[in-house]
Amino acid sequence: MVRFMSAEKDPTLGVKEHQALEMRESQLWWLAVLVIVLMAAALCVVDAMNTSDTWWVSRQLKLALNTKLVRVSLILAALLICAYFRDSARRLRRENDKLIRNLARYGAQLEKKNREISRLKELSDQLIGLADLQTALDLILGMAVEVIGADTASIMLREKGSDRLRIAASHGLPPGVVDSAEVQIGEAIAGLVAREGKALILNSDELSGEMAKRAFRGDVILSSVIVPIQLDNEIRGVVSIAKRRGSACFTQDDMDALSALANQASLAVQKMELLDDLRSQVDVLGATVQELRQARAELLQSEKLASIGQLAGGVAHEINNPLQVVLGRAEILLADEADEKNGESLKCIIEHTSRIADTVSNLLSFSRQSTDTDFQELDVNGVLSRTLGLLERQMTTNDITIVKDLRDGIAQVFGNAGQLQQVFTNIILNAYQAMKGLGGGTLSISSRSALNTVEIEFADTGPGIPRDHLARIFEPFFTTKAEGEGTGLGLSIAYGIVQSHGGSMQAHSSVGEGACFTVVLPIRQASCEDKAA
Amino acid sequence: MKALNIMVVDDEPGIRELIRDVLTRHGHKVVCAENGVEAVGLMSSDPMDVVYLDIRMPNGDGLMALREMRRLRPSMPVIMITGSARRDVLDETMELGAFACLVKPFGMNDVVGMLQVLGLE
Repeated sequence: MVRFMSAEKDPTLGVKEHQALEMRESQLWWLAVLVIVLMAAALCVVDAMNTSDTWWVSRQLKLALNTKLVRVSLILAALLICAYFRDSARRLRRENDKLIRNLARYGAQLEKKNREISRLKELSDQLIGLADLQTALDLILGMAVEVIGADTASIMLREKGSDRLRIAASHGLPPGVVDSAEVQIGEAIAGLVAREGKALILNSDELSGEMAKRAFRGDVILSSVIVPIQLDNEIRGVVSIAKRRGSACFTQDDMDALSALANQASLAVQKMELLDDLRSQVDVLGATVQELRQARAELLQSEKLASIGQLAGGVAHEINNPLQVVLGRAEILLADEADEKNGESLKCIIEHTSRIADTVSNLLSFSRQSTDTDFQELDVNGVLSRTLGLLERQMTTNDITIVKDLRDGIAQVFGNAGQLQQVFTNIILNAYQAMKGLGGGTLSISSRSALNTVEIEFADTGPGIPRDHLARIFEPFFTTKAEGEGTGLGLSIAYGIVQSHGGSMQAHSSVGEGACFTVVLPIRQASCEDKAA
Repeated sequence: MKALNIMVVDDEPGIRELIRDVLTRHGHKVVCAENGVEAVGLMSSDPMDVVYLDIRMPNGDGLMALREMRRLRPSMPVIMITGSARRDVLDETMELGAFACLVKPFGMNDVVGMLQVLGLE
């Protein structure tokens, strides 16, 4: 709450003076009436002296009053009385004018205070809606300059745990001063105020000795006020304002007003610190929620894959036995068949049975848990090169250009070379099939090391993948290929292999903009180390 | 070509009969067993030149039978038959001394081919 000390000192001063003036004016009026009555009586007496039948005035009195001395004395007395009245009236007028001036001055002060109060309220309302400390401090300083009438102003703040004050906001100070100003608590005027926690008015002309030495630019600055910013019984900074020579010094009222602004600054600092805490907690919460979502999605995917894998493994095993019998018997019949047509039919049976066998083999690969202990440290670039060596010719024959950006010296990963080759083969073949349909394209393959991982990226210039397909691309049996051209297991197998390596696989694509598959593998995987041991 | 005494061990009758028929057509004498216990019993009473042994069977696991066969007749080659090419299983059969592994579904030429690789045909 703002307190204005001067108004509280004597609130009835003007009223008492006015009442005294009124009483004196009243007295003067009655005195004037009395004088006039006396004058009239005197005139009557003088007149009576010139008449013979005034029985109520004695002859001796007539004789005494009829002399020239008495007449002159009466005239002089009248003149003196008039002069007295005139002087009294002048004094009254002067006092009246003074009273009016005082009243006007008090009225002006009151109006100024009212303005300060309404500006402070405006400031408070504006600060409520702000979420930025710098803006809040600039507003407060602007208010200090406008309302109190300072030439320069600054707010210095102390960071938590630090003993130094730095300028956080300023008005009217040279940029060089703002950037370099740093004060140790206890040093300079600002540091003293911050240490003692007491507000200070400094008028340069009144300083001497040590204080004069510590005062900043005493030749330019006439008067300054420094008040502490207090938060939770701790001094968090100071607000300083100054006036240059040529203007009036600051007063106690100005210091009180600045203290009110310092309170606002304190609330702003507290609010921003709370907001920052809240923001960082919200960020942490957001990141945690995101991680949980991702983990949940991966868990769901893993569970799906695991349950499908188990089912697939059981079904595959059950299919293999009758498949073996059909295939074997067909081969035996073919060996004995002389008839060409029958032979062709048997060949057809064998071919299609073999297709079933391939599907079952893929299914078994999918169902297999990562119990393969053949993990070792390997160079991903080497695996990529071997994979491309098998496929490159086929791709370039179909007008598909391969652009390689395999960084030298990338970190080694711990994994199974055969399985990773299967992953890379699957991704490259998918890209090949996508671009072959467009008559060619470019497949860019890059590898690089990140903090604890190795990232391999496959980007093609194919037709792209629609968003609804992209969401399901790692699902088992999901395929966009024509019937008979794919089992829909390749990418899900690849996904499972990458997961078993402790890594992750992602796909990004838009229709018409190709597709990009990213495989991220950890540099070291503790579980595989244990298995290998 | 000498007719070999061959034993086929598989819990699936279709598989047993298929391999038996293929080997019989090549002039070999084939006996069948449907589990590892029966197989070890047959082998103990009649010497065999080669055994085709399924890995996964109830009532006598194939690996158990393999260990017994290797103990009783170390010089007798055993060819494993499996429906699943799991590396860890294959590695274990090799460590136990199996000669080779046929992964279902295999071709009939592979069955006879094994005898050629063994130098028995």
